[in-house]
Amino acid sequence: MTAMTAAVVRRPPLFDGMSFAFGASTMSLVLVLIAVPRASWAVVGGDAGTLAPPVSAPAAGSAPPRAVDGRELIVPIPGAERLRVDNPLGGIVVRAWDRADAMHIVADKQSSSAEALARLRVHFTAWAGGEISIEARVEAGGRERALPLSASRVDLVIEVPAELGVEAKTFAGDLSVIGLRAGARLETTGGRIVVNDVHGRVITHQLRGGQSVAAVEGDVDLDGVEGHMHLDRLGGTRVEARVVDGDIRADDLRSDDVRLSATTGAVVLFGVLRPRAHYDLRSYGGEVRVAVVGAPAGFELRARSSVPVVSAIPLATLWQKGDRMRAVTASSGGRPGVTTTAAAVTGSSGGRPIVELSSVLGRVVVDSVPLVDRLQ
Amino acid sequence: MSPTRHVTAERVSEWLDGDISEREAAAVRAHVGACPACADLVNELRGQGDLLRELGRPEPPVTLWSSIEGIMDAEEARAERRRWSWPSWLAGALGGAVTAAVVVWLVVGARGGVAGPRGDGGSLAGLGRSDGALATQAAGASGTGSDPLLVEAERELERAAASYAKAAGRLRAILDHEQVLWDPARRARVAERLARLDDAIVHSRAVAERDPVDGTSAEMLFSAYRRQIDFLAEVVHRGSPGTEEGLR
Repeated sequence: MTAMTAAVVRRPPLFDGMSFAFGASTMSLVLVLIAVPRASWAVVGGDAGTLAPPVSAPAAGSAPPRAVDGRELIVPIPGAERLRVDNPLGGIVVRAWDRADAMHIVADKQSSSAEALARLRVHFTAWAGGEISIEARVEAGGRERALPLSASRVDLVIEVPAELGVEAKTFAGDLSVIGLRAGARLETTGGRIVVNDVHGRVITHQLRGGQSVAAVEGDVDLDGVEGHMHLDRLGGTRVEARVVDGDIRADDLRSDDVRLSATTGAVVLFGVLRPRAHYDLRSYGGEVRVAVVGAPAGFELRARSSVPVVSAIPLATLWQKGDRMRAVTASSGGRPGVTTTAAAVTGSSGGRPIVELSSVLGRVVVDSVPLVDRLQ
Repeated sequence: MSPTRHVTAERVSEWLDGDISEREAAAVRAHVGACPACADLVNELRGQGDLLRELGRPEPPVTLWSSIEGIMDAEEARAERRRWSWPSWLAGALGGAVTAAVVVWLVVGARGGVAGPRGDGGSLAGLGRSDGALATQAAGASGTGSDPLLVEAERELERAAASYAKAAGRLRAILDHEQVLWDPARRARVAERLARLDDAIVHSRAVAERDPVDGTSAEMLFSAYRRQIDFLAEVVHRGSPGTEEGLR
């Protein structure tokens, strides 16, 4: 671990009854979570002497016999500001708990053989500057490597102080963060991403697997290649989601700047349109639909569609050229049936929300959904 | 941040966009200032951003739109949509993916950097290579023998690379269709940028194939694919002439 050489341990080792080792430079503290069975991991620091609760081993079921092992650790992390978790061997769950100065780590290992199981490692490192890292590695070729495996896995469940900033990365394993209050940056190649009840900025990068992001108070930036995205109850200033192959469905977004973009999939937005907010929904091949919940207070529509826009809300067309049009809701001052020049409508939208809907090959649809339907 | 830990492309992109905290930005600045490889990455991403901004401001002649009747446009659009119905598009996408794979395979093979004794070691993203031969070759080269865990890991990495290549191929097929409508100068600029992104993938692939079970090398390859996919997706959405100006 080359990176150790630049780190300075920010506190003396407090671990009692556990195996730990110093890095090559003796400047960072590394705990190898393979040395002691789960039941013998002890709570350390302020609660020394209290045993962490054991976690039951995975049920065998009808699957072929598998070697399993589990490790559990509660470690004090006074002054920690950021957690980085890198687990190419399985899934990660990070959830907030009610302790502000300690972290609870549960590592479950599974493999097809005891020999392979013994080569799976989990390292805990406290870095200078308040960073904590947890890394799952496999010993192969004479060194430890960050590699994904299909027949062996390590799953991590980590409970952290809510105010800890979190960065987490998996390969094929699912990635969940719950209850955090300092944002999260998540990356996975093939795992599903789940975010729930998070304050602070949320950033994701994903190749495939789908994403579900709900109850976030902070800016959201979601990036995916394959898989559906579901956004629900997001309250930051800005929400942006991009996916190549997959649908985006968004409910109840309370942001003033919403940008949702799918290349081949559909984009659907349900919710109340906020005054002065800007909604930009785009797809190349899929349908783009906005379903306005409740009585619309009036909005400006800017649409691009190769087929006529379908709208359940009366619209007054202000301008139309080719596959592009601008319109306003009929109740907000537009004159139905009147087409004006582009220059005549380039002024302010007057505080109305602006809704841009664009689909090169698909339909553009404006729906109205009674509030009562959404409450049921 | 340790001096030996490179900055990821995503972090650099966020830094260039001003999307990270001042503390994180200072760390990125310090690393980029001392690391030529990361400085090159910064220059690459800056160039990519410049081109995207340029594509976002297409300015067709005003007379273009005024000369088109709405009803005719709608009919033409419907006809176009029928012509490019999904089945044919999907066929095009598949064709594009295969073509892209073959082209890059040929480039890699021609450079000889990763080809095996029979010249078949330059497979792109594991396409057409599921027999584990590359794993065995690599394992031998790195002195790990036939470690089943390494073979397993390499297959996982190859599957991921194939997924990235497939997604890029689909986007490229869409772009091929869309850019027929563009002026030659814009097509040339995009082609030039794509060629550089292709080069980055080929280079990363060559590095990764020297040791197919090196996770860091695989990350470099995935990052190169992500940059290409991001660029292609942006161009598909923003590059079509007239996408923006009629809406503003």
